[in-house]
Amino acid sequence: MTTSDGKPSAAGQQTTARGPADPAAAARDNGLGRNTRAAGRTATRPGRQAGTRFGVIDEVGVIALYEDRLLRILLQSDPLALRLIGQADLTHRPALEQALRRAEQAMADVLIDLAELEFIDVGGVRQMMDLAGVLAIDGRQVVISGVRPAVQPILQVCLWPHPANLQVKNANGQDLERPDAPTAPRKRSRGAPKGI
Amino acid sequence: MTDQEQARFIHQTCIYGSDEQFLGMALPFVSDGLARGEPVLLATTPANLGLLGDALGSRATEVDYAETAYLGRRTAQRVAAFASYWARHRPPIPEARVRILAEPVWAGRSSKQVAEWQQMESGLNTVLADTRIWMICPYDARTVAPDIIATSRRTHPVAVTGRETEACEEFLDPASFVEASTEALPEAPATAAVYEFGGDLGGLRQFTRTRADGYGLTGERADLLVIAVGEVAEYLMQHGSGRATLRMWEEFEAVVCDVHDPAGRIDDPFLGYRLPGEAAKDTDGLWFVRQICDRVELRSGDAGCAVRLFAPSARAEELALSGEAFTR
Repeated sequence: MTTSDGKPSAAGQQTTARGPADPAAAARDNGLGRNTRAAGRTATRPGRQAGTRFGVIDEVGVIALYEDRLLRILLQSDPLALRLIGQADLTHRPALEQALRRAEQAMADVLIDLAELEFIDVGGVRQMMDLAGVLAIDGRQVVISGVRPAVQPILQVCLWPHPANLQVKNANGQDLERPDAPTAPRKRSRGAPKGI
Repeated sequence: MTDQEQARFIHQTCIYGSDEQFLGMALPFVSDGLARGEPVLLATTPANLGLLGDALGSRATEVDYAETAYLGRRTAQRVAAFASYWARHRPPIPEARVRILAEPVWAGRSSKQVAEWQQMESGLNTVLADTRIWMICPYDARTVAPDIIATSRRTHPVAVTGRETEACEEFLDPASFVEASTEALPEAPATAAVYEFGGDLGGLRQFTRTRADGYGLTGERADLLVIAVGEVAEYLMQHGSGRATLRMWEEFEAVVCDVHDPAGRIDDPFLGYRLPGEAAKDTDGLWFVRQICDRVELRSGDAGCAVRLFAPSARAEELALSGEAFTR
């Protein structure tokens, strides 16, 4: 498998890595200069405590696609997924677009892990919907996973009509309720003053 | 096709003063539609639904229906309901129509709500212009105030009685109607919390969240308000000067967020009413804002432009009961 810029890569290896023989060195060489330990994802090595080390990513098999003060985008190799971390807004459109293109090249069904995403705006949701639209032509899926409670409402309002090839799962792995049109006329009025 | 048939959106007001007059318009409208195999949506009062149901007999099960009071509590939700019905039922035949009987609800509305609903009625002429919906809006002369009835002739190009139609001379194009019917927004109170925005969306969101917490908005409701304010700022970043002042305050029934760009312009009074479509638009964020806020006021002029959002306050008991962040 080659990355989009033609460099050879193998599972578990970053494009800047020295080689699979030294994953710890590979992690140090990533050069993001930020502690990015995520719960449960730290690679443990014999003789070392799984802990945070300032300035180092304790994760192997992760390519950093973008980082700024608000948002980090990672392409993770095992399991193969695009990870969005932090907050994604208008200032991140081009970065997210490039990342989604990268994910589209790297995966047949595109997995987008939002477990560490605190915020995304309407435009960002739209970018993911548009990806689903493109992939639908080839019968490919988009799976958005790990959706936090804070991010659920914007997905529920915006993913309408819900693309057939888009799955959205919350942090417990449950499918988010397939959202109805927010104001679809219902066949039966419920009587309670909820409105539609 | 005749001129009328070639027209895209057909929008007619029907002023009726009796059950017979209502049925005189509604029954042919529905029956003709069913005979042509056209989708029919009835959004009217329970009493009128009953009248039509009886009159249609066994054919009544072929129509879609809604109690009008529940077809979108907010104007933007109502517009979305119509657009959604069109999107789901649009006929494959170019000559065919989607028929919607849409009786607006006026009883008990505040004067601000009446103005907003009248502007929505006017806005439908623009927002649904590309659909082949045939919409008749019944106005009950027995219960609706005369000035509201008169205004229906300014917001609808045609009036229908039975099967007879006449052009409304009083009709104003939507932009003119909005301009004529829009009043200045009251000043923000001196106690409003103020944030000067210059492009730091993260900072704006944080400020909004902190204020929202202070007003007792929690969880999903605070999250949605933060998104809404952010979407307004994003729109102004793309269409205004990129600098704006956010003022937030609480009043009866609302947490209010006013975003003012002294060098911005908003040309479309119906910004945010159009549904997101096949292609992403930079107005999609404002559609979202209109879905989740009770009211959205837009102003644009010599002093720049302003978007004022009214979200239900933490005191909204109905939301506390339903557990929903916003009444869908």
